[in-house]
Amino acid sequence: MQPQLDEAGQAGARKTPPRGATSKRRWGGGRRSAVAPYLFLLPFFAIYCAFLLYPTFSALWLSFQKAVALDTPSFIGLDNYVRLVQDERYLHALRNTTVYALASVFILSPLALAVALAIRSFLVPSVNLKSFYRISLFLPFVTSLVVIALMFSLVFNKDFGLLNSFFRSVGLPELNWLGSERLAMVSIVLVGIWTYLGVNSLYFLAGLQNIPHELNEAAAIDGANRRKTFLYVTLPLLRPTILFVVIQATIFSYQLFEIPFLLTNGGPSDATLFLSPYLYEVGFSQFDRGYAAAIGYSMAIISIFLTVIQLLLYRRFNR
Amino acid sequence: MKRKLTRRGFLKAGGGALAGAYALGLAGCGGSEQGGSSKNLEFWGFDEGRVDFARAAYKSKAFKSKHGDVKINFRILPYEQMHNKLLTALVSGEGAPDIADIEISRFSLFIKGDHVPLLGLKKRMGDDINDIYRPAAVDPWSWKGEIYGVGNELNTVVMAYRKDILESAGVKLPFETWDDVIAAGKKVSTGDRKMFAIHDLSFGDHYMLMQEAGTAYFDANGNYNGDDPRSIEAMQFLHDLVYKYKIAGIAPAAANNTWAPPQYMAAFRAERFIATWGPPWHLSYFIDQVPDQEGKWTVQELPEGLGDSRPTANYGGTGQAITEQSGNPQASWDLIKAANLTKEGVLFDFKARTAYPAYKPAYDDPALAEPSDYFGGAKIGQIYSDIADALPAFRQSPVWADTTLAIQRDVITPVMSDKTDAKTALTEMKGTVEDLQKNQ
Repeated sequence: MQPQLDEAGQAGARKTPPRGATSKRRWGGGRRSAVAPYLFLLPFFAIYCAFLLYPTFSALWLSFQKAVALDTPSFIGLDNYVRLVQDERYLHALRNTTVYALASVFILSPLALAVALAIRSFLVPSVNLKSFYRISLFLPFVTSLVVIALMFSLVFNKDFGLLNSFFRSVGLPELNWLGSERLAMVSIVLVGIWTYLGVNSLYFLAGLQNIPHELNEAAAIDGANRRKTFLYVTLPLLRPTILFVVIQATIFSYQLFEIPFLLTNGGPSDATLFLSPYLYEVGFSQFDRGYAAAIGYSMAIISIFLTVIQLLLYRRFNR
Repeated sequence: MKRKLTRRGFLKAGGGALAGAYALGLAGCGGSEQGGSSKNLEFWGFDEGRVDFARAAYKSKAFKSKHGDVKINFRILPYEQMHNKLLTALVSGEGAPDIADIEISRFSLFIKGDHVPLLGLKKRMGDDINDIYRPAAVDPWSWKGEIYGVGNELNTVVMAYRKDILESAGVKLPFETWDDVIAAGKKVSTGDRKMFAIHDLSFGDHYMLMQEAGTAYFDANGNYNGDDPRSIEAMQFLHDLVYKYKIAGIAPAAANNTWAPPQYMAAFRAERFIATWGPPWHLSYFIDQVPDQEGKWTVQELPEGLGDSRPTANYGGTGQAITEQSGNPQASWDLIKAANLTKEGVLFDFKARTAYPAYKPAYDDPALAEPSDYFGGAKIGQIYSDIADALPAFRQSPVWADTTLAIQRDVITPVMSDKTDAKTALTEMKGTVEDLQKNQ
C-alpha cells in the first residue's frame, strides 16, 4: 500500500493547512487563538502569584519594616538584618542548626552509606529480604513528623520512657534525654538519624545500582580486594550521589521545625533552639512580623548559598 | 445524551466559575459590619469546657430574653492556632470573630503597639465591677485603665497536701509557716518520695511564690520588677527546696505541656510527690486524674514566711473579649455578661469544671459552700472566698508573655538545674526585658 502523500509530496509528514484557515475553523478568530493557551495557563499562574510570588515579595518588603503586632508597619531599611547579627538567640539558633547539619553530614550520611552497602552486599542475600528492607527503611520518611515527635517523646521520657526502662533493666544509670542541656541535642540528632537514615540509604542504593558490575569484576581480576574495590571503584563513582545526599541533608537541617518544636520546644534553656522554631516564636509569640521575615530571608539565603555550592560541585565532579 | 465539552465551552465554564468565585470571595470578604446589629455572631475558643460555658450563657434566659433572634456559631480551635488566627485576622482587618476567649498569657500580644483591637468594656460593665474580684476577673485583660476582657475564674492559689501521710508522720496540720513545711518535708521525704514537684520548665511556681512574697514581674508603671529582693527570695526558696532541704524534686514535664503532663500526674498517683500549691484549675487535675486519693488530700492558705507573707496568689485564667470587628457589640457584651456576671452563668462552670467564680454574689449559693469529698471535707469555696480579697493586683505589660518565656529560659531552668544563682539570673533578666521593650 502506498503511503499517503501530503501537499508537499512528503510521506508521513503532518498535514498543515494554512494558519489562518485552521484558526478560524477551530477558534473563530486569530486573536482568540493567541490568547487561548494563556487562558489555560492562567489558573496555575494566578495561584502561583497569589500563594508564592506575592507572599515572597511581601515578606521581603516586610523584612525592611518595623511591623510589631497591630501597629502600622514603618520602613526601617536594613535594621532587622543588623539586629540578626546582634541577636544572641538568633546566633545561638544558627549554631544549633549548624551542629545538627554537621551531624547529618558526618554521622547520618556515612551510616546511610553503610546501610545501603549492607543491603546490596552479600549480607542480605535474598531479593525478597532486600525489598523488605527497602520498604521498612522508607517507612520513617513517610511517617508524619508530628507522629515521630510524639513517639520519641515517649521513648525519651525520663521517668517512664522506653530508653530509660532499657537502661534500668541492664543496670545503667537513667538519663534525662530531653531535659538535659547536653543530651537534648543528642536526642534530636538521634531522631533525625532514625527518620532520614532510610531515605538516604535508598539514595545510596540507587547510586550503587548504577555502578556497572563489570567494573567490580575488572577490579577483582586485577587483584583488588573488597576494601580496595570499595575505595578506588565504588566510592569515586558514588561521588555525585554522596554530594546530593550531603547537600540535601544540609538544606533539610536548616529547615528543621517539627522535631525540635514538638520534642523540646527549643529547651532546656535554648539548648535545642533551631532557626525555624525561632522564626515561629518571633512571628507568632512576639508577633514581631518584620524581624520574623528577616529571619526567614536569612534562612532562604543560607539555603540558596548551599544550593549554589551543590551546583558548582556537581559541575566539577561531572566534568 | 452525553455532551461533548468543546474548548469554547470549557473556557466559558471556566470564566464563569472564576467570576463566580470572585463574586463569592467578595461576598465572603464582606464579613461583619462595624458596630452593627448582626444576627449571626461568631465565638472562638480553645477549650471545650470553656466553650460549653459560653454556650450555656447563650442558652440562658439572661441572653435569650434580649437577643432571642441572634445565632452564635461556636468554634473550637487548638490553643496556639486560635490565638494566632485571631491576631492575624485582627491585623488584616478581616475574618475575626465577634467574641473570643483570650488566655491570660496571650493577652499581652493584643496590647503591643498603640492600637488595641478589642472593644473597651469598662463603661458597659458599670456597677457590676463592684461584684467581682478584680485581680482575677478583669485585671489580666486590662491595659491603661481600660478593660478588654472578663474572666469568670477565681484563681486564688492555695496549698494542697496528703493529709493522711503527713498525719501518720506526726506532722501538726495545718502549716503555719514555711519552716513548718520544711520540717514536715524532711520527715516524709525519702529517696523515692518528695514533698513537692518544682517545675523547671515553667515560671508558675516562682510567679505564685513571688506574689505571696509581695511582688510581681512588673511594677505599676510596666517596668521590670523581677529583680526585687522578694522575687529573688522566692526563687532562691524554690532552689533550696530541691537542693538545700531536699524535700522537693523536679516536676516531670513535656515540651508540649510543661505544667501538668500525664507523667506529672502519674508521679502523684505513684505517691512520688505528696503536696503542691496552685489555683483551682490546678487542683481539678488531681480530682480528675488522681481519683484513688479522694479524701486523703486537704487544702489550706499559703503558709507565712516568704516576704510579705500574703495568704494567696493569682495564677492563670481566660477572659472573654469582644473584637473590634464585632458585628453586634451589644449582643456580644450581653453574652459575656450572662456568662461571667450572673449567678446562673458562673455556677454552670463551677458545676461543670469546678471553676470557682470571681463573681462575688455567687458565693451565697449553697453549692459553693459544700464540703469537698476529694479534699477531705474541706469547704474549699469558703477558703477561696475568704482569701480572695488578699489577691495581689495583676500587673500587665505588652511584653508579659515574652518576659515569662525569657524567665523560664534564663532564670527558672538554670536556677533549678543548680547552674546559676537566683540573684544573678533575675538581675541579668532586666537587660533582656529592656531589650524586649525596646523592640516591641
